[in-house]
Amino acid sequence: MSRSSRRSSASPPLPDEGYEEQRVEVPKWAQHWSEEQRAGEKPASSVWGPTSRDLFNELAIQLLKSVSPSLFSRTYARLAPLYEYRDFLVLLPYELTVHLLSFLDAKSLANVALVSKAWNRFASENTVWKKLYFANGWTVNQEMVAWYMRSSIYRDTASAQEKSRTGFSISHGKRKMVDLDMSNARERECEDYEMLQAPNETDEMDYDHLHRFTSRCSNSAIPHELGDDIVMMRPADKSEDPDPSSHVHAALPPDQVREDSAHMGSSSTMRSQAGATRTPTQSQRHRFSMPSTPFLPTFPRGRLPTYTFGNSLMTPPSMLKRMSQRSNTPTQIRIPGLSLGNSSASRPPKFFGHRPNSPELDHPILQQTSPTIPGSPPPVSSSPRSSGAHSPLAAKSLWSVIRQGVMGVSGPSTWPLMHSNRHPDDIDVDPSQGSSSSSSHEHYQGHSHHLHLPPSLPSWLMHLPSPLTATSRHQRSTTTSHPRSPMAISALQLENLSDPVPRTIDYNAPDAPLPSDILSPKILQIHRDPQTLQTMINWKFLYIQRKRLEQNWAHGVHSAQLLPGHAEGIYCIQFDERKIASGSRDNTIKIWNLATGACLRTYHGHSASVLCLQYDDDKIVSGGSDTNIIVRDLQTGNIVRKLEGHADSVLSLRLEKDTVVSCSKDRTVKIWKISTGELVRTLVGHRAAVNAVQFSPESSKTMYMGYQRVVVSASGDRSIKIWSFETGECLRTLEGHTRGIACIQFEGNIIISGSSDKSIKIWDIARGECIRTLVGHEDLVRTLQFSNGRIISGGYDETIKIWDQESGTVVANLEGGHSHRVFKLQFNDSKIVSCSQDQKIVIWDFAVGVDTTFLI
Amino acid sequence: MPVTLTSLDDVKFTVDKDVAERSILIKNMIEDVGESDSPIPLPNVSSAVLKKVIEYCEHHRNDPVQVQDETDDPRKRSNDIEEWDMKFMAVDQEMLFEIILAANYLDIKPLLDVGCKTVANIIKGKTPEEIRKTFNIVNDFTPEEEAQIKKENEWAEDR
Repeated sequence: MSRSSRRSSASPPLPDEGYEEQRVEVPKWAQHWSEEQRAGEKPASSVWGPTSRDLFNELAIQLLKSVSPSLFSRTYARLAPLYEYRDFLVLLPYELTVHLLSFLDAKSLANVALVSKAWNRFASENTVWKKLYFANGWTVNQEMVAWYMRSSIYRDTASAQEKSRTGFSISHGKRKMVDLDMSNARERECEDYEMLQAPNETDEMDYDHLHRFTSRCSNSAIPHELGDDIVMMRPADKSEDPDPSSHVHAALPPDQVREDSAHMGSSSTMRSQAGATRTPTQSQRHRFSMPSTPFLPTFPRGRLPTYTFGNSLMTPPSMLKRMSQRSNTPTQIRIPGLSLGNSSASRPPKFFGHRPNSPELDHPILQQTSPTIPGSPPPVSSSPRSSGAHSPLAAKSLWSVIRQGVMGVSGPSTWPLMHSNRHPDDIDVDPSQGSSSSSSHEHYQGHSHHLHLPPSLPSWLMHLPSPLTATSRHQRSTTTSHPRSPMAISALQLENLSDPVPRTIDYNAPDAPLPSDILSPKILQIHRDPQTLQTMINWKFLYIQRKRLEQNWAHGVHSAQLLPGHAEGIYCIQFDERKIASGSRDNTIKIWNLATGACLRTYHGHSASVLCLQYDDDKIVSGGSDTNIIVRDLQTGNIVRKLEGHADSVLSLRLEKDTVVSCSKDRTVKIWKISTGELVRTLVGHRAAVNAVQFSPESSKTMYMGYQRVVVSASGDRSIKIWSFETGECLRTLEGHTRGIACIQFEGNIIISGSSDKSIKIWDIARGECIRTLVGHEDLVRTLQFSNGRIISGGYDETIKIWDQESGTVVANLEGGHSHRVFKLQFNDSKIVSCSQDQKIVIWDFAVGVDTTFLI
Repeated sequence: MPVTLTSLDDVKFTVDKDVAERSILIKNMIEDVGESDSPIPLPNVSSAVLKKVIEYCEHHRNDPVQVQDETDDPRKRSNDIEEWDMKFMAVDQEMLFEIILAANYLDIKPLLDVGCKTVANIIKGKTPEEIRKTFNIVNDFTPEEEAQIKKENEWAEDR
């Protein structure tokens, strides 16, 4: 065989007497075959003719016929086991293999991955993990996923890099659409397994880009020794530089500039078109901030950073020192609630979320201070620009070790990144304030001063009320396990009116940030295809994160932050991913930055306690003991409308679009229209104060006794009433609690209520009866929420309990957070925020060691 | 009106129309061609497998037709298999394999699901070594690779 092939490759066919070509006789049954057929190829001539497979089979049969019986039986014995077993995963078509594996659980998949290399590949299939993720009933932030998949930022970045090196410039910059349905993308998904392990080369590119960028930044007109705050202020300085962003653009490759400016242009025009409350300076500031943070390793919506404050275990040692250093200056211990009026002119020190972003490592202050604190990581690593992870100075700190242990994250520590947990909107300095230049300078002086102080334990803890100090000490001695008590964080700051109230990110907006604006490089690296650099969702990674999160909920593992918020008890809160609003007995409403704990706004207006509030994107509505309902602009706090009509305290209210439904101690429920201020309807029927109210949203599809929209109210008269939203007629009354009802929530066909009889009852609306009673609280159940099979309630017994709706059992009992009655709580998939008569807001964060990007 | 099906090896099966129409493929064929006496060729299914598939379809002839969305709703998925189906699926691996392929080709979603669930249930609860034995698979990992994968998948263990 080998000889003949060698011979055929020789160019001139010389006669060779020493060699006789062996002639192969073509069998009779194959004599009519064409050459292609003999080669095993499908004949091109006829579609209907025998396929190569048929021919192959025929060949095999003819061969077997020709062997002797003894050889045949031996062959049979060898072949039989192959027919007995089937390697299903390998032999089935790809779609069927994925379908099959989607019936397995994560643990079985882990075993499948160990069977063989081929099985391992299948067990790592992205599509399998996607199916498995949703099979658990888990959700993702769909808008964010779609937003991420829309952007092919990595490609653009990488090719921009390439172009800048080669000097080519190709028109390029449109965001590409990527097929969201991963099941169509078989080839590239097969690479998932490698992706999870392989370090990638383009990471370097990004950092390369980053470094070049930062250096150019500092070389241009920006005085780097003053840090980021000053940089941000330049737009206000119109006389000096009409378009400061041009400096930044000079640092970017031409394509990047084009893309950035296009993006910024669209964003600013969008803002002005929208004619929203944003002032020109704000949009300008936003515009300027965009190029200055192109690759800031940030976490979306302050996710990771929040938990780092939470407890001593997770607080980097250097941070503890800083906390103590700051606190040695008594004037800095200011509880916002205790501060009077508008004292925010003097800029508060910001040492958690607002650390200066020095663009260069040789920042004078840092140089000066770093030797003074031996043992702590050099403060320079706090600069996001130096991108801690890659800075040689951010060497393995204790923190990185802890982080590896807790988060299962290997590789270099990235904790300094938490200082950049800001969205471009959350800039510290308001350019409209001319005087802030000097005040921020003071801030820096203060900073350097404090860094010289000897490190010690946070003494400011001693100034705080005893329960907190006690719990904080307790905190230190416990490990990450069952319910932990909270520890105060950096909330000892005055509100800064110049910070805009953060909005929730609208991922569908044309001017939505790019993934590189708000996601860390690590996350960007995880969620992309290593081969094509296309954005993709790494479902296995999401699955692992989600599973950890659920395990944390199941075991009550969390970290807690505490905002010592108001001067009096806090009756109501609402939060989203970026902010918390709270209303208090001190007659004020405060808005907090969720990530930093900074108080952004204090709104006055009620002449008595604020009992209830709700906000949406533009407005915040509150009701109080002064019988009034006040509608304000969320950003400015300007009162848009006062809804007057209740005869007694407004105990609860709900807002949707233009409609407010309120309930009062005057035993009525009222429906209002905000735009006109009109009282649409009054629902009369309860025999005591109406404590809680809810109504079905406009889009509601559930029908309740023939009505599409209903109002559900709960009263001190022990009854729940269901009313028609349209006619105001009482449709049904649910009775069963033995004392007054304090709180309700309804969704779909279920109402859950909490009562002064210490129980929680689950009601079926259609049947009009109680289907389950949960007993466990030792006092009045004041607040509750349910979602996805989880009920969380808070009561006068100072505890918060997490219940499993299915079984009615207590999953976790959170004690020690509040030292007085819990008045209100709200939760989402990763955290609970609660407030209490003890004047504090506690954020219970269950995303310990979990990356919640895309999850929530 | 009965329908005649011809298998790969030219065996003819005559079944009721509602039984045959459990297969979406056959249903669509009948709709496209219209009523006719000519047998429907199924060149991808052998007589042994087709016999088994017809047995399944006859048992499930009165099941409500599954809506596509329902089967894709992840929350309704479960690995539970009816008792009859379990017995029906108690066959050797070769037959199980062929049934899955046939169910896929004939587009009988419930049968496909039952087949896949059966294999999944065989895999479930087994150690990698047991899985290898069950399916006669050679372990081509080095001990180092095996340890590495084990480490990567530690998170999946229930805590």
